[in-house]
Amino acid sequence: MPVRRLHLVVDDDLGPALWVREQTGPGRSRALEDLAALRREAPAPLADALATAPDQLRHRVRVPGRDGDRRLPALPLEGEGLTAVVGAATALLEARFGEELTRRLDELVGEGAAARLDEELIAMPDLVAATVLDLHARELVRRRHLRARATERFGRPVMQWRAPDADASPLLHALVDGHARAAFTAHLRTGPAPAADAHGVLWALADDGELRADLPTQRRLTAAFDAFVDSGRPPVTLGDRDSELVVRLFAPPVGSAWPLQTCLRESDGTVHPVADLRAVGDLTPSGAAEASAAVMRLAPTVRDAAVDDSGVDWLLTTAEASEFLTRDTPALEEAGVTVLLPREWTKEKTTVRPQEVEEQPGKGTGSGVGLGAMVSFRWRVAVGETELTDEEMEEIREAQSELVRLRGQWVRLDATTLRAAERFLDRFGDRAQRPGAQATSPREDGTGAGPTEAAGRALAGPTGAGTGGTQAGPAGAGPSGVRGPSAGLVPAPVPAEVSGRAPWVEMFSLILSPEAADVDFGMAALVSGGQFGLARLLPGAAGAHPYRPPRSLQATLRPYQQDGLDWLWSLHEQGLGGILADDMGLGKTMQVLALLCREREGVEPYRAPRDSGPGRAPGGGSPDGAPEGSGPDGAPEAGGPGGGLAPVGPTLLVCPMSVVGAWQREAATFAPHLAVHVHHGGNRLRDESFVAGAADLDLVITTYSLLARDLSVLSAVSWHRIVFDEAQHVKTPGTQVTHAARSLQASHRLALTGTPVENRLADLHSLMEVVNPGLLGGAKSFQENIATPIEEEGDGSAITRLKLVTSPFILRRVKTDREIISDLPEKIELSRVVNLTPEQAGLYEAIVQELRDTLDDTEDKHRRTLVVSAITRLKQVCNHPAHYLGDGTALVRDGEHRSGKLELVDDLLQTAFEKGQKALVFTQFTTFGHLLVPYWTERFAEFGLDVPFLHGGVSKRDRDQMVAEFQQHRDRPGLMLLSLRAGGTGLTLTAANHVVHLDRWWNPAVENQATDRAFRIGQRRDVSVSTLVSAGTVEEKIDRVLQDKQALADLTVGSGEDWLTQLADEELLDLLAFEDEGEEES
Amino acid sequence: MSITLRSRRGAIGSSWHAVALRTAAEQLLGPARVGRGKADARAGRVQWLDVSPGVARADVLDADDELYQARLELPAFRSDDREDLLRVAHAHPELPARLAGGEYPQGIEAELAPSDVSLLPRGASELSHDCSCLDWPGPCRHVGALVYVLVEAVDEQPVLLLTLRGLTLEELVAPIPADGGDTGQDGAAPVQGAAGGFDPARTDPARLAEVVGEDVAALIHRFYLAGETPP
Repeated sequence: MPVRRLHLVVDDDLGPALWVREQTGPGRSRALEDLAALRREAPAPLADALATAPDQLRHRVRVPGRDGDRRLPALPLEGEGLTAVVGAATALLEARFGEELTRRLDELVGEGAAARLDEELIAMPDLVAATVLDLHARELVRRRHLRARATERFGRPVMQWRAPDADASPLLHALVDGHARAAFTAHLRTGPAPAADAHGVLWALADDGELRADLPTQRRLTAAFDAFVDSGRPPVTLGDRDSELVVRLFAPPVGSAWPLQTCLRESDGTVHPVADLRAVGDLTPSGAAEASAAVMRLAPTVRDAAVDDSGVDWLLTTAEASEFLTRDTPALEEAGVTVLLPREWTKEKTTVRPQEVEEQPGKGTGSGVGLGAMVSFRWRVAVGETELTDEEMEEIREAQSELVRLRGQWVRLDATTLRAAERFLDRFGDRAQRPGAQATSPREDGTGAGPTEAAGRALAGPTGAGTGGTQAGPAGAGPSGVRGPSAGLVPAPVPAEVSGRAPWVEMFSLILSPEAADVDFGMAALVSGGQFGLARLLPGAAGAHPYRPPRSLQATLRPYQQDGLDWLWSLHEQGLGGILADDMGLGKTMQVLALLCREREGVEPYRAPRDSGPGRAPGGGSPDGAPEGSGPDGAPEAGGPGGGLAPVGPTLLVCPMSVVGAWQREAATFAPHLAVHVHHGGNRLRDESFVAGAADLDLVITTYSLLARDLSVLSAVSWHRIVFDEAQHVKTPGTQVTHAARSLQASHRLALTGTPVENRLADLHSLMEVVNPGLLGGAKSFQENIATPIEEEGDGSAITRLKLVTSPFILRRVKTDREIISDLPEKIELSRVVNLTPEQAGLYEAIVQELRDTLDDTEDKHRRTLVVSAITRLKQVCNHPAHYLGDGTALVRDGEHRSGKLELVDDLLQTAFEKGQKALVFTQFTTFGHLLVPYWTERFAEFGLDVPFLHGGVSKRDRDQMVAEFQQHRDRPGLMLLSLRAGGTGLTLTAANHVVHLDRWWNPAVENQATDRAFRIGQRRDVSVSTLVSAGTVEEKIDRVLQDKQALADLTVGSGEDWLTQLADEELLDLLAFEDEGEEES
Repeated sequence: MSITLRSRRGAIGSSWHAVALRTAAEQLLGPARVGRGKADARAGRVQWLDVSPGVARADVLDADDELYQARLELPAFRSDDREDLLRVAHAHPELPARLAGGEYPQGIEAELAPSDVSLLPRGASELSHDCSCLDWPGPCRHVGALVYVLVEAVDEQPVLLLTLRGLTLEELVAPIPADGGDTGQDGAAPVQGAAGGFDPARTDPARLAEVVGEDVAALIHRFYLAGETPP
């Protein structure tokens, strides 16, 4: 038998194939064409393996040889045919080597040696190697480390088992396929086959069953098998399913190359660079490429950037990094890609900082005062906390980049604020005078004319269309501001400054104009500020110059009132109007009276500003800390700001009719030396004598209803000051009252209101037009440039700018602010004195007269009834004529109030509701309550109020429901009316923080009990308790008695009005008689 | 199930590489087949497109409701061309990401030019076609339709050019010398990675069920569960 050498080759077309070389003589051999002889003579295992093979070898395989490829006859082997042949070789070798099989095979493969299977049969190295692979293949199949794929073989779709590694040798794949088919066939036979196998996958995996799958389906089958197998791998490959894309930008480690990294975030939140994931095999290279590609798709800047060695990360230039931050970051984030930036990279805002804003010092030097005053402005530009030098500004401008290097740090600029700052400074340069120019421009005291309404935006110059005798302002279009000190040679960075001079009104107009939109004036602006004038009143500045309290005022001012007085004084000094918007009860009246006193007694002259120590406390206390009265003697100093104490003209006070009495009373009590006149009533003076007489008065009080009606006579007086109390009455533009208020001339205008004016910007504008016309520009431009951006977009810059401009002119302290007003109790009790209307007064006097007439004739036993009845009727009249008459007439007639009380309560409720607060209103008369409910429901319809009325006739259940509803929404306006008896028991109404007693019970215990409905545990705000008292009536007189401690001690608590019945006729009638104080004035 | 073209009118394919492929293919098609092929492609007659090394295949529905199997062949690279391409690719680590992102930088072609290698067909002569229809020798309208579907696919996914030439994105990524630079290990490492840690018990039959149905998937899953755990 000839020696035969067995080869196992893998042909490109055929796959694994067996060919045999037979030695035909010494040095001669040929390839077998027929297997029959081999099959006959081979040892059993091999003979068995070849049992089904055809004799004739019809296939040819390409075999490389010395003289080029040869084509040799071969037996293609696949599936079990292959494993059988290789297995036979293995079996024969095992028989020869026994236990040492593995070791010997390794040696043979290592040497590339052939192995003898028996005497005349040799396994060539390729077959030996196949036996080793076969062992490996068996192991893989045993452990089911298998893949499977659908593919085409000779144009036919087939399933193939594969080794797990795609790059494994084709022979290994073929051997795995063979063993796996056998195993899978056995597996299929163990149980019933599933009914549905649409593609015939199962039998295609077992023996050569037909696979019914077109090409796309084959791809899907392969993909499904891959996914199935991959799901069995522990370090789950990161894929779309459980990871999200993250991009990370780093500051340059050196130089200016900004690393940008593509990363994936696992579901547990950890972020890994894809380059790292790829390196450890958790991510395929194409997965990494995909991730990187996704970044490029979303970030156009990155597409053109330099790629680093990884191929998935980039090195951006500074310009690119900047562009990436501006343009790409939003797109990436929108697409759900997280962009990670260095922690310190919050956008740095560019702020414009004024430096020592200075008005031209001294009065009488010819420069303007107040809004017209020329001011030197020096602006610096800061990025974050760094004030920029000229060079830095230049660099930033040239870089046109969001990223700049400042003092060695990379800083991310907020481009909006940077551009806004530049634009603002350019405009400032356009409008301002250069510093070196003419030092002052001769101007008269411009306060009277000030910036008028017509001057509005003041674009035509600070006094452009002014009507007064002022010269044209100096704000001719000056050239751009000149840069400050050049930083070129100075070692320490010297901030660049843009400086120029302009009047305040010009500055304010610029700040409110669209040119300043988005400008961030920063907190720095709020704490700078200079030595003089208006600058002292700017937010954060030192505040008004404090002076000692006026000696002629018969009261001790609380510290905050002292501050208020100083503020009013400073405004007055500069001819500026203001809005004193302190909460109700903080003593606005007192502060105005104090102002009147001070201007009549004068103050010490201004100290030279340079001498005033830097440590001077802002506001509060007298300048030298001296207690009242211990300073220089009381003689008015000459040369004071009042101009040597020239006689001060009269102040006109306009207020609602209801508070006329209160003003009168307070003036009489605290400043009795002031000559006060009430311009009111049918017999008021309306001719020349009023004008002449007014000049000698200190305070003229009139009402809003007369303001328009008597405008001509009022205009004829040269008013020193006009004060609008409850100034919300002139907040509606277009009304006669508002028109009259704006047209009255005075050198100083004040508005008093308890309403927070900042909340309604249109109201603020309107009020400011009354006190400082033109400051906020025209209504339309104000609405467009400021109000709308704030109200609709919450524009922070607009809010800041508005605050900057208005805050010198608005002073508002709230009762809840303990820092300022620490000495006020949480329950603020106010006795509010209101005037009777003529109608009320007439009815009142008639009742008293009737009592007077009948009292004499009455027997003692009826006297008590008579008195009590009269008092009750008087109280009804004080409440409202309609209440007393019971005739069903309207509570308000032609827009005119018939009751002073109701007018005041309406104001009070309006204020409370606008702040979203609730009120409790108590009356002892159920009938009055029934009149009020429909009236208030309609009057306050804008707040959508229900007005529940809780009285004795309300069932327990309804009562509980009313209380529950009232308590529900604490921050909404609300109103509840209660009869004093019903309201006195066991109710909790802490949602309210206003309590109004319409009429008096004259029993403090009962009233307190009612008040305590609101003021009890659960109340978190201050409660203001208003007790209404009609001036000149029994109400006021008894109130006075009650406040007298001696009298109080004599009263038996709970006795109510009984004690009145015991008074002698004379005493009683004195007590009841109406004293119209208005008539008593000179 | 058919392929809908994005392009509704005008030229199909806008990127330079798609245009280059189209130009070569249109030379092959000849003017008569160009219009027909475009119209058929836009009419959604191509049922599916499959791109594998050396050949793009598609089933195209004819007017007579017959499905024909069209083929467009672009020879896969021989090993020397592969080497040239990989050499250039390894000098451009960003290439895989760019290709994945739909961009085939023209500069790469320029660098390949000296070696006379191109991912794109170098003219109509490098392309061949075949179809199961009777329109012999063609090119038939089915091949025409395939061409336009292929052009549009390549327009978006230039990676397909790589596939046609018998390469994968993975191969473009240069072997990473970070692991100590022992390049000899590189070939063996993936084998380890692929087999290591595989646990048939963890496999999720749901991944299979989507395509083969739950019963078949369960049966296959049981086969995997029968695997022996190594000692």
